[in-house]
Amino acid sequence: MTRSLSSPVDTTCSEGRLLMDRRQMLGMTAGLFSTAFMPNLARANTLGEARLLVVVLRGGLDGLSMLVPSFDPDYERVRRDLALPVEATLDLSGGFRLHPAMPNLHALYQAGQAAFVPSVGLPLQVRSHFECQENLENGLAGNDRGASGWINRLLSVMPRGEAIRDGRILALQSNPLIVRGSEPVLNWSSTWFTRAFDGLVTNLSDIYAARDRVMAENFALGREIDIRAGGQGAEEDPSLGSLVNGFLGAGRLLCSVGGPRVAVLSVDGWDTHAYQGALTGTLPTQLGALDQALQAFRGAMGAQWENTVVVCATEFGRTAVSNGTHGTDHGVGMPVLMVGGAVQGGIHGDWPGLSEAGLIDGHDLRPVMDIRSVFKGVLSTHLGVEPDLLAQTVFPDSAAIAPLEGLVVTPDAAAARAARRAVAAMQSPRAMSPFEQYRQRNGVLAG
Amino acid sequence: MPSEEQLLQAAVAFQRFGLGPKRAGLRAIADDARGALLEELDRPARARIRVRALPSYEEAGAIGTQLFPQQQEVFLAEQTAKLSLQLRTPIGFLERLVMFWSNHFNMSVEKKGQIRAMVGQYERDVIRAGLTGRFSTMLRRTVTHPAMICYLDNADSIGPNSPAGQYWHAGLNENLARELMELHTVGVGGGYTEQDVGNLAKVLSGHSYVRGWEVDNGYEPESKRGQYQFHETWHEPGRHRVLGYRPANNSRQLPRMLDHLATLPQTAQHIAYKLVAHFLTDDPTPELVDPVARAFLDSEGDLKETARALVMLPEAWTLPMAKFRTPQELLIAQARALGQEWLEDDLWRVQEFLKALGHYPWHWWTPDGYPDETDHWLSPNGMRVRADAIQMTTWALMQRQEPGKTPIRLANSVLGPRMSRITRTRIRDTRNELEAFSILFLSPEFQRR
Repeated sequence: MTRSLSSPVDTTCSEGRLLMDRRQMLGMTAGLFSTAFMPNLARANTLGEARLLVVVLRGGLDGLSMLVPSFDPDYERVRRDLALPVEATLDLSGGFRLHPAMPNLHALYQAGQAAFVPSVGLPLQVRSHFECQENLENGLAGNDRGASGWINRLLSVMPRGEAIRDGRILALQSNPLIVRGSEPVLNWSSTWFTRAFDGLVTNLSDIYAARDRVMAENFALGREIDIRAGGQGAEEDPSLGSLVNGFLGAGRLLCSVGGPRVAVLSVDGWDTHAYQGALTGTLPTQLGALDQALQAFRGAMGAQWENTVVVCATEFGRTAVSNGTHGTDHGVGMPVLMVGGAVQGGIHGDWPGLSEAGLIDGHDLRPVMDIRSVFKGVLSTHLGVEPDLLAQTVFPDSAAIAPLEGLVVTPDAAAARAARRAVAAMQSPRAMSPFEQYRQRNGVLAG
Repeated sequence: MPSEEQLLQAAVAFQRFGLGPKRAGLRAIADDARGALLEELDRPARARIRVRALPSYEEAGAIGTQLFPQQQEVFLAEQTAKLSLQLRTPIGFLERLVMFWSNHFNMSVEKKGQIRAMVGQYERDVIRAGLTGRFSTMLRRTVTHPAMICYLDNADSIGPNSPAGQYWHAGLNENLARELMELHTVGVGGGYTEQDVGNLAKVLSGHSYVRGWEVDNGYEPESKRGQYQFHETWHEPGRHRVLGYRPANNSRQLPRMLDHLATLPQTAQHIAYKLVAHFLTDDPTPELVDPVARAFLDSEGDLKETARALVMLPEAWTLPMAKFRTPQELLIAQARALGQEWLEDDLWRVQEFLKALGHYPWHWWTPDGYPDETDHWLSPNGMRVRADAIQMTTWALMQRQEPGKTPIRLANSVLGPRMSRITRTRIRDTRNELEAFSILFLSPEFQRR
């Protein structure tokens, strides 16, 4: 079956029109992607347009380098060589400051579209990447082995016929435990390889169609996803690197018509045991890359950004105290970062403090809540998942773990905020100049 | 001149059981394809890797307690040596068996440096050395290898009633015991209970390896760094019954228990099922599994006899080629067909290919190993990335050396009578050689096995 090329395109997404044009240009049929995804578009959409991206920061993020508690009297004593000078950091609120490598995140925070929960913990508190990633992804109460991931179980409790379920789960770059289970998963990965030339694609498509239906269907769908993700031709710019291209692809796919609404993306490289750098160096570079990738994602989401929550979580925090090799070791308490138009910006949850008594064993940040509280808070408000389903299926045996309220804007709050933004836009119609941006980043030169 | 039937049998041998024909094509073994496969089983020395630069067991163990750069250097050297043999070996049946058994006893190097440093040595000295020996031998060497002890968390498993357990209030870790039953031997539904798992964990308690910090703090001598170590004082005392067997608590307790598990009928069936599922079909039937399981049982777990039984199944030569080459198999078969080696300066391309397709060696996180189902590999993203990646590797191999044959001649030689008319036409009519070779390597005839 083929879909007419004049089918409606999601013009709310910045990429929708472009993609369709390119497909027309290539003379391709819309194929499986759309026939698989289209049928339910006409149904009532009680979940609205909600989008969710979960970013797994693998290796253990040193949260104190990102979300800087400059107000904490013990900050400099604990962080020693890794302490950031307060004047170099960007102001958030409540005395918290942000690493200067993340100016885009700072702008989002100021727009009320970025939130932090400064110190959460996993149910399983050990120091193994392996076990902690497994626990983060299986969403279970402790050291249980679970063959399925909580994102997969999340989709399994969503109503059939809803775009959020029928669009399937999108797994970017890899197929981690968090997406595995009974629900079907779509994959797309950003690769730097030159895409197969047109002649090769045509020949293969013809051969597969004639000889091997399964290969034909999978090849067509894989190409369709890749095209929608921007992998074709110049869209995937190798100079941007696979991190930014991964986020761009995620954004394009999340707002493609009939496409996935829930996606998972992994970002490696947070395991900073030695010479991680304070203002500059390995970790600041990594933070800057994440900042740019999130900004790229925001751009790709276009108007759908308003309906989006991005949750960035890691498998464990790192020791608050810097180690002997100018780095940090596997620790306990860790922050969760959320961005998106549907996020209720700000700092949510308490700060445990860096005093000797506040830290665990004098070196680890103390979690003030279970990370599942954050996930449940997002899922209950953003996707409307019933408390029972959250407590039994998505996060089994978690009835005692209350959802953290207030992370996601409710429709009323969203409307009020949009109105405020419209007024602000009228008052300040021009974009910020490069110099203003510079000043925002670097502050005003003191006389 | 070999008959069409003979060429078809050669294709089965090369593709279903091996790593693909080399430049000589299907004709190389067309006289007696099955005999050629069985002959490989008679020459297990061909599966041995003897490269001086690669570490011994003692050296690899010690490197396991060092830092990432040293471990990664070893890991890359092991991959290079392995790839080189996979490209040179005549048919590749032995190599496919190596891949099968390594995946059966899967470990992920991402868990710990001890595994990164030792997994190559493990494969050389346990899998390759025992490829045509007894399963019980392979099992014993696996379970007492530091890499597996590390991967499945047995290093700190301490019997609660042992002296150490009493002193530290330490306990058992059941991970290795559980996977030993569920994945390595009897398999799910093999009739074991939670109590069997718990008892096997008691038998395994105290079987550990020497960590770097133990040497650094003077608890163990330097020579034991990263080596297998049995701690009598960590071992749960007493006799423990597992699946009806209760060996005496002495130094032979673990080997006896493993021998028992290795030779149970459930284990024979589990192994036979996995072999049939890997080599022949996603839907094994008793007609296919039972003869292989019987051969395993009757020979007391002789892996050569078991592999032989698999090859001797009449269906092995008649079932449609419905499975799908894994990314590793595809990459190797491509280079073999082109008669090219992947040399060290281009190894990064091999890695990028395998990473992009999710089949980088020893990177499957969980102990169940890379999936064997066709669906896992024949996926939308997999098909898309395969096309892009094969085009890239074809280009790189063509840069290295002019292919000695035109695309259509190569296709004739490696696909023979399996080549469909449309594939033949498209390869023949495509002017661009890179494109024509890519069609060959991406064709259903080349990828299905």
